[in-house]
Amino acid sequence: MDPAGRFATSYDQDSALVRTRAQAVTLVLFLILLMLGPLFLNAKLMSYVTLVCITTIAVVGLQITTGMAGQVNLGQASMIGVGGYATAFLSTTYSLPFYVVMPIAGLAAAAYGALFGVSAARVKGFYLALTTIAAQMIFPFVILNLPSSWLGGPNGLRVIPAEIFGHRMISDTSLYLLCVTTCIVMVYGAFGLARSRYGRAFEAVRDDELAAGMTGLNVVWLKTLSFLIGAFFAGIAGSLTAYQLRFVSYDQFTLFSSIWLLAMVVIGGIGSITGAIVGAVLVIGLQDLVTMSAPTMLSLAPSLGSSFVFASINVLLGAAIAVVLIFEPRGLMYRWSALKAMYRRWPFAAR
Amino acid sequence: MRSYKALLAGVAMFATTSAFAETDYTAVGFVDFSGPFANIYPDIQGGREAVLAWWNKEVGAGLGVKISLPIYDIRYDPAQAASVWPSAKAEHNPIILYGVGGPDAAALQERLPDDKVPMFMSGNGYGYSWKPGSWVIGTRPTFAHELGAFLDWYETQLKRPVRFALVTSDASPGFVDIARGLESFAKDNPKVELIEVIYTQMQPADLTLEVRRVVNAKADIILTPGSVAQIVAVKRALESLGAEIPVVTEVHAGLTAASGALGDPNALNGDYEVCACALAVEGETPARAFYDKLAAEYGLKSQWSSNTILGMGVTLASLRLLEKAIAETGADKVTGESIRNMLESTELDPDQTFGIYPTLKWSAEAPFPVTGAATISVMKDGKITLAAEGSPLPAITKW
Repeated sequence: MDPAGRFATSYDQDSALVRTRAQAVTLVLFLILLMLGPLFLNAKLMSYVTLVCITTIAVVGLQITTGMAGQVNLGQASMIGVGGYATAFLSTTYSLPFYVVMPIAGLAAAAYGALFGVSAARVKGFYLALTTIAAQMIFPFVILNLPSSWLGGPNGLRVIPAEIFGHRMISDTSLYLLCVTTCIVMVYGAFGLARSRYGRAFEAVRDDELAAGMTGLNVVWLKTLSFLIGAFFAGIAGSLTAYQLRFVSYDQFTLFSSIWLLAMVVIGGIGSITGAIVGAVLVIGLQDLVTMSAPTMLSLAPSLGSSFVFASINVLLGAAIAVVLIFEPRGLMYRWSALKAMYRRWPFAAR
Repeated sequence: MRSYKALLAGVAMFATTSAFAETDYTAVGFVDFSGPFANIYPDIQGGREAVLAWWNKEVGAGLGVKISLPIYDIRYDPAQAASVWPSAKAEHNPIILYGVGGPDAAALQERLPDDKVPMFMSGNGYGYSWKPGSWVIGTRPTFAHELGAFLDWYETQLKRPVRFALVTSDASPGFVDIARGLESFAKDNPKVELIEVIYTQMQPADLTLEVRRVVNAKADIILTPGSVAQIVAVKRALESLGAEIPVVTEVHAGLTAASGALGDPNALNGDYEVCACALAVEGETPARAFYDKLAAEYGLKSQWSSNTILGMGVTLASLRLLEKAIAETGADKVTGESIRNMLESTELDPDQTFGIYPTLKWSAEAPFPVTGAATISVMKDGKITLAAEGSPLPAITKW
């Protein structure tokens, strides 16, 4: 809902991503602050933002597949893994620069995701979820059973660090800048997709695929495409993970990770790109808060014992997420939109 | 006269403060209190903390060094380890990092040489980390070395080649590595015959079919180094098949834990546990005496278990290297790099680790010991007793 007095008078205005001057200024300032982060952020916050950026890319990809197109995907972590392994393979075997490797890694993951997207054309709901779990199961099986000289087998693969103008990107600062920049580009792309004809078509398929088909949309192709695009995002996230850790191993990309990614989508708000970002920021933030605050709590109350403090604080994290979902199952972005609408309509009634 | 006394007092005060000037260093500890190893980490961390308290008082004070140990829970997750480490490093500037296992090794192994902080692991080394120049330092050899030492010893008991099966999992590279290592060991060793590697889940519901194959193939022994759930599944399968084949466990999922899971303190009667370290056996041993001292004087509350021993052992080994670095560089100039530099020139006698480890020796080729000996215990009448000590680790071709 737009602020009072703002009326779109053209299609471009109506579909604009940034709708007011205040929004534009805020966004630009935020992006400048983000890029200047290494100047004022401490090491912890830099690593937090780096991790959030990588995760956000994967969660936004999942939002496209699951939130926008309505196709459940419990195999997103395996697609991140495909991107990670493609990065390791291409960077070590062919010594390709990172700006070539990353798009190829994204495409490799997209191809893997599209395989399961095709099956989405035939099954839906619970059965589709099971099919995507197969993607998660097949991934380690393939890694382990291919010759070790290809993808390292159980040994994993080392990754040659990303390099730009002869500078190896191994410091926290350079990795931060790489991840933030990539995240901005990918999120911008996702917003662009959401506003495009494909975005609208995805939503049409999600809301009623029979009706969507009746309007002339190619439902099978759109479902496959949603997996392909979502997996491309995952592949880029995998590539960044590989460059960050400089090592990939199949047990870094588990079903458990996929479930966390889906949880971020749900907590942030299904169907909203901003919701995906909020979900990633919040869940990772809470996880980090738990991890970092536990030593302080322990020093304040050493009699509780380290195992009790760490375990119970994780239970609190789970409880906090459960409470959010109980009181706002449509996600935080929905609540935010409702609050914003209420404020703008005040003193008139709002939902 | 008064001014002379004042000068003397000043010199004495200066000498006193100089003699007791203390340099504070930090060792960061990763723990897993909320992941898959939450059940064993209280013991491991208890062992770490008690040894550190002992060292600070009885060794560090004399050297003018004190070590603190802040801990971070990484939930056995590489992403968490990668996220936590930069801030832990910036905040504490640690000279030592105590790791958990595969996830933090995967997340940090490439950056630790740049960060110049050695990471000490209480668990086993792996074939894939068997390479020169690593900063992920093990205090135990690979599972294949430990289990190989057991098989060599068992062959001397049977006086014929040992037919064995392995139950493991492909859920993580570390468990696949056990199979690869034992395949390499068996290939070069005519005294053992590997019948089958059973790949199963970490928490299998039933292994009767798989164990039936092994029983029919007349296995002498079944190696179950993976998890307590796997040991339970194998024991139940053996019971339902009416077969009596001993199983061999490793310390992270050992006899005590497995018999507890089976609900009978003597459920693993006749079964074995192996480690290239001291085991929590009944009776007086140097490791037990040290444990008792820590429990009596340094607040060690963890039970007498193999995991407590592992926590004690890895801390002792790292602190012995620190002592050597202090002697080399001076108490106030120690860095992570100076500790890492001590590695290949150091040989720790069993006395230096209170018998927790055999002679510990690292080489340029491997960041964990590949020579030494293993201790084997057996469960008898609900008690864990020593079966063999000093069983030499076999030479295994790198896989």
